[in-house]
Amino acid sequence: MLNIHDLERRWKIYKIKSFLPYIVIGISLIIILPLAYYFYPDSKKSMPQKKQIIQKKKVQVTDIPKKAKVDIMEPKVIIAQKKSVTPQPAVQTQKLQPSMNFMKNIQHQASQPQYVKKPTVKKPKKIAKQKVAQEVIQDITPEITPVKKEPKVAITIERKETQNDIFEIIKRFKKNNNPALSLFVAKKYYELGNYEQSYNYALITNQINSNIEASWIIFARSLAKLHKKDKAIHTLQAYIKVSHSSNAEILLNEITSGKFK
Amino acid sequence: MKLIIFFILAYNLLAYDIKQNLFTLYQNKKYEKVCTTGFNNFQKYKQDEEFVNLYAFGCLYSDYIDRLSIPIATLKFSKEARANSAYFAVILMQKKLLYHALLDGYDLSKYILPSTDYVLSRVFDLYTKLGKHEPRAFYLFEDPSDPKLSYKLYISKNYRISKMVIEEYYDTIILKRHVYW
Repeated sequence: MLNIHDLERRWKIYKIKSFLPYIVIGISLIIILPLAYYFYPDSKKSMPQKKQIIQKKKVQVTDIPKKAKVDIMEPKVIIAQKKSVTPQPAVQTQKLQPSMNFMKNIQHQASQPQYVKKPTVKKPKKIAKQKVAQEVIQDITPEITPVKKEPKVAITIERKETQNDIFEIIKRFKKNNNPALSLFVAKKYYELGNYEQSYNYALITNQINSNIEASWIIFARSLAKLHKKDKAIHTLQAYIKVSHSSNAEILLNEITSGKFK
Repeated sequence: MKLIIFFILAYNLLAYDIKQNLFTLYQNKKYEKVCTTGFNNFQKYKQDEEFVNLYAFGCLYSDYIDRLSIPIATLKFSKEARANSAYFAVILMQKKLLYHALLDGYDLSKYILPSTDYVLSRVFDLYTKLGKHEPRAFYLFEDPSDPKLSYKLYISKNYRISKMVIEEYYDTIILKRHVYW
């Protein structure tokens, strides 16, 4: 015999279960949609903007006849203004600045492991380049002792906009040995705070062409930054004797008086 | 049911991942890739102003100036977005005006326009300072802030289209070449 009551009960459970996903989705949509509408910034901000546009339109309509009236009533005043405007020199334009705060927001959202990974990748290249540069120094200048490098535990490289440009220019320098290129690299390394590399490239520039004032100055500045003030002073004194450079003298005074930082 | 939840979760993760990927690319100075990835996913995220900002700056630094037109129109809901929109609009306008002036001899000296720190704006300012003049094969401008920085502006004629080229020099070394059309 069939147990009809039991069958009916099971059928009801089956029916409820079949509707359950739709009920869950429906309830979740009812909850999520108002929340999304409330928290989503666009929906909030777009509404008052439309109102503002309407208000602006109204204001414009009322303003136009007033201006027209002023033009008709006071023509003499306008002529006088025009006369005073014409002899003015060129007006300096204001520079617009982009706003980069959104980057901070994205950074906050990010869990950050991808970004942190990147700098450590180029460690061996950096060390190899420093070694090559040190070898060059030893070959070129027997008089000036190269900077002693203390073994560093970890080198962190910050990626900056000029970094790629520097590598490209170093490649080109290796091809044609142009002192302008090595001087550029020295300057850029100095700006980035990599004083060892800036010292190396300034030295290479001096070896190729010893008459470039900028190169000697970068060289001395880098030495001073590397806590080799005595050597920097010695080098500048020697250079001033030969070239009588006023910029070198100024730098020498700054270093000797302790103003150089 | 499980399948729907899985798809919702997967979609959200993918959305977050694309924006994060774009940010990482931007941090690593892969501007061209930022621009193309942003361009391919723009329809999905056009409401997200952070995404649109990233995309626009990627396109700006990879010299895809024409692609800025859509971000200019969509960036408007926050103060920051409006500032960036104005910034991009000035650059786009200056590009179009300079191109028109170089090819058709249009006189720009009568305008006083806002400026930016972008290379195209700097060249535009230097060009307008020349006043009315005879067209030249190329223009050499010295940067007022750094005498060693200079810019060369010329038109490169192609069989299809003429392109405006700006070359940045430090001393005599070419640093970067920007091509616009």
